[in-house]
Amino acid sequence: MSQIELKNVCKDYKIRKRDESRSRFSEFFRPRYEAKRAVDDISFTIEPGEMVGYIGSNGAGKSTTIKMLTGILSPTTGIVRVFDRDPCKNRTKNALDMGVVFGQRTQLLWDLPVRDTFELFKTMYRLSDRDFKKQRDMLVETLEMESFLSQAVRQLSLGQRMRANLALCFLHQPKVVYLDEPTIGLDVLVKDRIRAFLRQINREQGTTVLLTTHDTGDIEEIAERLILIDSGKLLYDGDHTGFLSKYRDAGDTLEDILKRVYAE
Amino acid sequence: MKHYIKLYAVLIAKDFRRFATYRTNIFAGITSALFMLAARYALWVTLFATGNAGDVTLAETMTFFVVGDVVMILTGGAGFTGTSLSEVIGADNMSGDIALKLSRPCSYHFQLVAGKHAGAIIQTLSHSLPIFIVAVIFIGILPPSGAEAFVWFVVAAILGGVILTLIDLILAYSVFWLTDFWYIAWYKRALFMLFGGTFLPLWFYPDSLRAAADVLPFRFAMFVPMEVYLGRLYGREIFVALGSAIFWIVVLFAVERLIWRRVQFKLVVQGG
Amino acid sequence: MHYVRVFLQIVKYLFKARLEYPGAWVGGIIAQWFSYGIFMVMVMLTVWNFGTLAGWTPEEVLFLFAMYLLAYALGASFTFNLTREFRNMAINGTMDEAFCRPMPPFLYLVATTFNIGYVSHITLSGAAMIFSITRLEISWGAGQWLWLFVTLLSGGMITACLMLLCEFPALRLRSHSPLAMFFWQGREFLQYPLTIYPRPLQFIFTAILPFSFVGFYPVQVLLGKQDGIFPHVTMWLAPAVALILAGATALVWRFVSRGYESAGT
Repeated sequence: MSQIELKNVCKDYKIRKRDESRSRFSEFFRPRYEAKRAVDDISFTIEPGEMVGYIGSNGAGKSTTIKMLTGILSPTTGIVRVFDRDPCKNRTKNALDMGVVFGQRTQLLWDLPVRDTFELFKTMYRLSDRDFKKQRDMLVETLEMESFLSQAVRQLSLGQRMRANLALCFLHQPKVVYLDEPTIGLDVLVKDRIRAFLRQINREQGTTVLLTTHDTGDIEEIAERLILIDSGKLLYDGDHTGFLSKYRDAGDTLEDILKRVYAE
Repeated sequence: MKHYIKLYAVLIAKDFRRFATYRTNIFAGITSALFMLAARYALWVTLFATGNAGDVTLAETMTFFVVGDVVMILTGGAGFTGTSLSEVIGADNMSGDIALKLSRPCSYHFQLVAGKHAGAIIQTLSHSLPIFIVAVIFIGILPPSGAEAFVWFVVAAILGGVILTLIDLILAYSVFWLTDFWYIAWYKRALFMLFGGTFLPLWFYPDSLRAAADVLPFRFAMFVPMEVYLGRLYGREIFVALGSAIFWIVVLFAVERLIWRRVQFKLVVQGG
Repeated sequence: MHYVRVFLQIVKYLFKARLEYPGAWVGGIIAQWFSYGIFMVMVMLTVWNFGTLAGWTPEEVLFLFAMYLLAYALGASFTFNLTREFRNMAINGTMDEAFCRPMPPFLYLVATTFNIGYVSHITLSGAAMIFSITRLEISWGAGQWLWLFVTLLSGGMITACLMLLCEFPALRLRSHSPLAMFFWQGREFLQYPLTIYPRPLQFIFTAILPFSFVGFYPVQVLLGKQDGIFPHVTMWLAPAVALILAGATALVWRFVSRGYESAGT
């Protein structure tokens, strides 16, 4: 049985049709909607320990898929199973086994040192002193966080904050980690460090990583497997070489390929 | 001068348009204003039922509140819900906009006061006026005690508005020395409640508190104009009251300028 | 038990974060003492002037006000910041975050938005309550003290639930809730004995927006008063009303979060 399983999953958004001429009371009591399909009949499975790059243009349905996997959204039709459970129905259990980072959104306590957020997550995720200390020390070392561990989060640079976010996401040794554009807006050095970190933790702890990204470096260096979606539809699912042989014309870089595929 | 009037008109037009786009705001504003009137009326009807009101009538008291509310809001934009200058200046200071506003070709104080008055007019229309109309129809509001009294009432209200604005400004300057500013408006409101008679007319005060209120400037914003309106002050008393209002304007203006100098110094030295 | 620990730890950190700016915190507390303190003095003074208010002495009115303010502070500590966030929650991702935590999302949201600023209300109304109880020279048995304690909790619960119920639409609408006004204006009526209002309003504040169970009815029991348009048993109902409202709020939250699950952003 696979760790993550999507079967014929569709997700429709109800888009609120706002009409300025209607009063807020009637907007409230009789809202009007129209449906927009964000994810269209997608099926795939992911096995423990895989590193998957989930790619597609903006609005292709990547974030929606991740939100369904994390249990934030329920699918309109189809089946989503993570650890053989419905993520929407077993949210608490699911949360203990997964980690998630949504772009630059921070889950750190803004006015307090990073250290305090770690302590808070220790209680929240019910970690034993030993596990917590071991994992935290490993994360602090690998992500080179020692220098800013005692600084208030509001004083950190974007790169530091992003590393702290990642560390938090891995603190409870999750089996699966979802990363929604984890390297967006970061400089080259920080990107490299994060990629090295992801490879290492995948190797050592067998963590499954599903990341969405627009960064060709991420795709080339981290993702062993690529899933490409466009307008909610699955276009490609397979390994790196297969992807290149399917989409590559002579002399293309990965970036050229993506440009062409997104444009289609 | 013409330039300033034009600017004031633009500000009012802008505020009005912003306000009118939210029709439910108007609805909510009117409804909540009427709620407040109902609560206040019920309170005072019950109090007057005890028969211990002395020489004051229920009609006088309700007139005091309803017309006084119009005065406070129209002259100072300072109804119970109105924004204080501390909030405007505080926000400008925090965001750094103050540097920009100070460098505009018209004085910062004009921008402040004009902005506040634009808000005051909107608030009068959306808040005080509905209360006034409903109160006139259902409760019965007394007219001014005479044509002459009305004229002096208008003069007293204008002087009171100047005092109210000056006090507002002086309190608001404290934002430059504090780390936060939302609570300054609370002090202002509480001071006017205690010494200005905005919650309980001063004629119900015990002697010691009344004496304290009489030597302070807060009563000029609402209480004094309303006493003139109701004819409880007349003849020479009006002139004494207006004279001391002018005295307070001079004093407060001097204090305001003094503190503003310190503020400017602080802004220049610390770069905003 | 585990969730209580998480909750307390989050609150501890919120407190710590607040103390990063001690000046602003203390300034706010003093302002609220000053402002509410003066308001209490004015209410006392008003009633004192006329002798009584609908048969209530100034001390009794102060006791009622203290009860109302203390219950409000207890409830609003949990819900005030949260309801203010409602309109931004779906957009800034707070909802998503709450759904990804190993605890009930509602609990997580309440904990992370807990408002520790109500210390001022709680200390001031506590002091006013002690003052009025000593001035009233009443001797209560254990039963009355227990009732006071229980109704303070139920009053806090009623306040919190009514605030949530009136503000929930903001989550959906992503702007001001059109119902919010009923909470914020409605509660202003409850500073005085309910019986000063005309019968329709007494009915509304008992049966529709049950604000009078926060202060008026429980205090009736404590002060041995029996006026009002409803049968006397009503004054004992505050804890039951709190439970019913809590149930209703839980149901509405379920509905709201289901809606979020299926609608998303």
